[in-house]
Amino acid sequence: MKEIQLKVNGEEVSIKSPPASTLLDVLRDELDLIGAKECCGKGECGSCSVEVDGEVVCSCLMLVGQTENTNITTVEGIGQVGGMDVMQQAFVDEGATQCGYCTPGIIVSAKAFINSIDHIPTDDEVKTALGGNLCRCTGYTKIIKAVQTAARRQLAAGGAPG
Amino acid sequence: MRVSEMDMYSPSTVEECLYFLHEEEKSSRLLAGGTDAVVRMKDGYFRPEIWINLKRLDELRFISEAENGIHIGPLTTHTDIVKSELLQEKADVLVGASREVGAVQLQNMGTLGGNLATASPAGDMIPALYVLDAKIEISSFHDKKVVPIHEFFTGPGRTVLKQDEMITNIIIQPQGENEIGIFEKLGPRKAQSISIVNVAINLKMGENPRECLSGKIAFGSVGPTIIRSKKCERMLTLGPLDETAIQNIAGAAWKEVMPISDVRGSAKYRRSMASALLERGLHRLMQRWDER
Amino acid sequence: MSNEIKEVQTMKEEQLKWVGKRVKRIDGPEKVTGEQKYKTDLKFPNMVWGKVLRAKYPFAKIKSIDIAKALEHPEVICVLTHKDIPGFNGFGIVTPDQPVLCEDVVRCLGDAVALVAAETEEAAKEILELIHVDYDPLEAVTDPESAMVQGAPQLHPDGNIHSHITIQNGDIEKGFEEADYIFENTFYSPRQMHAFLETEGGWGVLEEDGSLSIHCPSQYGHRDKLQIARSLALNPERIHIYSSPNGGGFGGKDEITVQIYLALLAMNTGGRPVKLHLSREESVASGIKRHPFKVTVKTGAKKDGTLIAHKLRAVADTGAYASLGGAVVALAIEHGAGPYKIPNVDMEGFCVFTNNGIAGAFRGFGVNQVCVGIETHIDLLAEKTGLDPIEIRKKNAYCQGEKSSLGHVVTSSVGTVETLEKAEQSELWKNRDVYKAQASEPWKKRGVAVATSFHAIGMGLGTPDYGAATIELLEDGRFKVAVAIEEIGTGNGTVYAQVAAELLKCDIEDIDVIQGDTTEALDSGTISASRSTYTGGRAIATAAPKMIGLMAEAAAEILQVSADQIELSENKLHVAGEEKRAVNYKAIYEHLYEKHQPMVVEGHFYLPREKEELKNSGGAPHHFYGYMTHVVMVEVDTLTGETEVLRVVAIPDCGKVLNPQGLEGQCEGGAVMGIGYTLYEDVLMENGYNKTKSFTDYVIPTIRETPVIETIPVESNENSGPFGAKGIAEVVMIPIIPAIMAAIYDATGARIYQLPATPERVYQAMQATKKQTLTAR
Repeated sequence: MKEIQLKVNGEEVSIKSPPASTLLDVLRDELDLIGAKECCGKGECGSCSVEVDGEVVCSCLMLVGQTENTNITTVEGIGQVGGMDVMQQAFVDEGATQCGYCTPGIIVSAKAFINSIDHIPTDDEVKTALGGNLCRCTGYTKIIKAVQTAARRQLAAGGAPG
Repeated sequence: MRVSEMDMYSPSTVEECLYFLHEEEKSSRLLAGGTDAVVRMKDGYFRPEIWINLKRLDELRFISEAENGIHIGPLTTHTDIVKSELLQEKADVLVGASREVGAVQLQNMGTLGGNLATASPAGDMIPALYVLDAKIEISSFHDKKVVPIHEFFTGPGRTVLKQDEMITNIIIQPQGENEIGIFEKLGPRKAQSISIVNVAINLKMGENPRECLSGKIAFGSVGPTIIRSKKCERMLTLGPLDETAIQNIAGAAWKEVMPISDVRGSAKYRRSMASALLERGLHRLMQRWDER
Repeated sequence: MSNEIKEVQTMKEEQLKWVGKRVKRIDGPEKVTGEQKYKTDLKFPNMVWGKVLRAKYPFAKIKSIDIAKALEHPEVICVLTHKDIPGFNGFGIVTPDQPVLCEDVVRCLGDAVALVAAETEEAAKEILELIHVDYDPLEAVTDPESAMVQGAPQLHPDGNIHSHITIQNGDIEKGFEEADYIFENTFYSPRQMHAFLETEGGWGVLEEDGSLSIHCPSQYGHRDKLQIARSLALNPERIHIYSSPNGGGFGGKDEITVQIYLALLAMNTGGRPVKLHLSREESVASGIKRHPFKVTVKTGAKKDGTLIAHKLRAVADTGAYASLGGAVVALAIEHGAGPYKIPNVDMEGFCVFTNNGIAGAFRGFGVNQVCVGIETHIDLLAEKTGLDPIEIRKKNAYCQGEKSSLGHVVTSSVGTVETLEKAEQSELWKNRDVYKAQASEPWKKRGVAVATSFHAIGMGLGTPDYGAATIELLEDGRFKVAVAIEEIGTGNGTVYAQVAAELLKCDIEDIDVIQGDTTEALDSGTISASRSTYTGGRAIATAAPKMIGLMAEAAAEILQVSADQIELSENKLHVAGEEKRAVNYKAIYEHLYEKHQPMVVEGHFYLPREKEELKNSGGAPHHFYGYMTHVVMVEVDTLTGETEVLRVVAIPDCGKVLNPQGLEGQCEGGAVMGIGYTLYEDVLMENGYNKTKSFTDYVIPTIRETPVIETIPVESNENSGPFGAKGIAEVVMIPIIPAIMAAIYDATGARIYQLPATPERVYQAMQATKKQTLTAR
């Protein structure tokens, strides 16, 4: 057991954990952030996606000891039911979620993606950005649409990526 | 060794890290992006007493040009490579290979050094490093040496790295203005796929139409390690790379590889695909060269 | 038809406020924020971890099981074997032939031999290693056709043939005699995996009152309750199942997954809640799969394109246990001749036991495997005769009121011809030659093709099929609508809210939907068989008028008029002709509350069905079907054999569309799952062992494989359905399979008979075509 300092969704937290526990397990079991899911455990599906220091990673392949003093954002940090982010609202509006198990990971990837660009992405750009997030229900069509809708709204609202 | 009992050491300088490797008696393992090592930990193959976390060694994450070539730090991620203007201009084949690794998450996590140390015969970066004449700088607490890439691997998953050594630099030869390269991959799907066959090609072109002065071709996933296709390379210079020449060169490739059959493809298909990918790559390169 | 349903049917399109509209999912916000808790996300204090010991061999006798060492582990809570099962050691939806924990023999690698509970997950894994099972390995039976032969090693006492289904109509010999053309081919299909993203798992909790709560994603909680009760010898009323939402199902959570393990463990942990959550690898090894089929098909046709005879023989690998294998093969044979009126058919199917894992329910339920035969043969006929492939299909399709190939008159709605007409008029089909000339690189070739198919809705004859819903008036004047049918991703809960809001004349936000909860919702059957929109919708439409009646009586008492003078308008009841003399729903609640009157109504109904079952058909015919046509465009790399699906036009007939956004979601998801089936997916096995083990080697489509998909619904009104709806969830992935195969042929001249059409198979087929051309010269 080690004491590890993390910054999760803007808050400093201190946890006690074996350093070789995955970041995903710590988020889910220690911090009650259950948005990120374990689905393959091997970096194939993206259900566990979170942002670490501004980059989207598979939290199932990151050991928590490696994330000491990093800045972590999970889907919970992007928006809550009471105040959804533009990406989350677009997913609801376009019907881009079905069973929803993959959705938190996709929201994290998609949000990081539109924050990194200053235009409405083409289908191909969205496909490249979300190639690491598997979904078995939607066939992805509405996900592509939702990301474009969110980008359009974010640009219209001032375009300031944030 | 239980995962919950493993310790972690996070050196903040390379020297500290090398000292630790030199002194520590408990079993240890280097951990960079984790895209391979953590999977193997979960599968029960990697159970060191101590993980050496390299993520804080910012001094090993760089891309810079020097007199003897472009230096790439082993902790450089695939995303770093894709975004590098220097590499886009002078190592297009390496950038192409990085784009084919997994997808965004794995490109953000995975490192060039990690891909080398894992030494998978299907590793996407390695053929590109072959055709760019990469040299690997290996350091230990007392020593430093440079090994050409073709001497770095000893078999599938095996390299010349010793327990107290680590990769500290990767030096590639920059492409000149008359050089173009491409990475071709055949996987079961477009993203998140392991290569069935892949090939990296780098050509030095002459003044005349489609005249090739020299070229390098390296195949992945068709043998225990990367295979340089020396016959095909010589054929590149026999005449202009028109459609017939491309077909002839590609037609010779299957004899240069020695693949196995596994869940991803049969040996016979892999052999045919060595030819097919070389043909496709040369077609695409020549089209790019014509349109430049 | 009851009066209530008639009333629903006669509601005019322009009167509808919620039904038929693009209503956003009511559970969307929780899903996109990560706030929705799946069963495997739950937490209980003082928990322990459960693990399952699986079989070491695909087929072996168990000589002994020694748990002594395991019990010495410092963190062990319990180790359970077959001896610890208080009731019947078996489960299975139809035939309970799968042991909960194996006693004397293991029949596949997914078999469970022991259960462990421990303080930590890590300890539980270590304890599994300490259980010593002494096996005597047997020769594994892995080829279904060899398994059928006398003398093959037997998996079960009644032999390896679990079921044999036959459907005959007309005179097959005469049919072939009269045929101008006869086509005969054999097709092989893959062992597709559901690959739902949430693997099997959940919680078992022994409550303080001694009752048992199981929180586990599932497709039929009420049936799980009975299966658990049988194995635990418990009163089912003392078992509560919470089975919704599911992180994907597709049929893969229809059968028991881990519910009985959870129940057994929970009874042996001294009251501590127990969690199980399978790793992807364990899910791949133990979860059910789609049946691989070998289908031999012979079709006879006249020069004018009339199909005249169709013979089919299917052999299905059902793996080690029955599950729903018999029903899958029965449905396959029922659909073997396509949505056509072929006068002479002779179709049979064998469901055969092997040691290749376990096969069971999966979206499409056998139709995926057989549709390729008839559709490919129609394309061959089109090529031979020069007739248009769509015209041939239209000519042979049965219409409402006509006899199908099975010989029964189809009285429910049939949209095949209309879907084919829409296909013909689609932009992709009309301009196919233009698109085909636009391949992206010189060595790539494009093809465009069409296929049509159908899929039954609801259970077959012989399986009771009923729906039930309750509606409760809540304190704040809102309603609680309970339908047990689970949410597995389809959005059925939103449709239930739409139907309820429409009929109760309130806002959709005033409807709370309860699903997957055996304590709160009446048994309404499975979430399977494309039945949940129809069944749940109709159950609510049956209950709603009762709620209105109840409220009207209360309103009459408050307003002091007779009940027949009360009318319903938005959010209130008022005296006819006097809108201002009104009471709102909240006031009605208060009135009923004061009078201690019940505020819950129930709606029950039995699904319509055919009168007579075809002999030996295992439940055919169904009363109604969904119909569908797909047009697809592919691009094949002739150097490598890689196939990319570029465009899909999905044309479903599911009756009235209750929610267009939900329908598109089904069509898009179904198309991509169909692409996965046709091009990528297969769980490879060798000698009963999995060669495909995880998501690393099981290839499902990523977003980069998704084509442009357009949905053009055909709304054939189904008189019996809620607002005219039928069902959709399965047919959406069916015709796309033969359509892609035909498009590959259109592009390359190479026919594929074995799926998935991997680059290697397509490449080989192209090479074979080249050789043929050379020989022909």
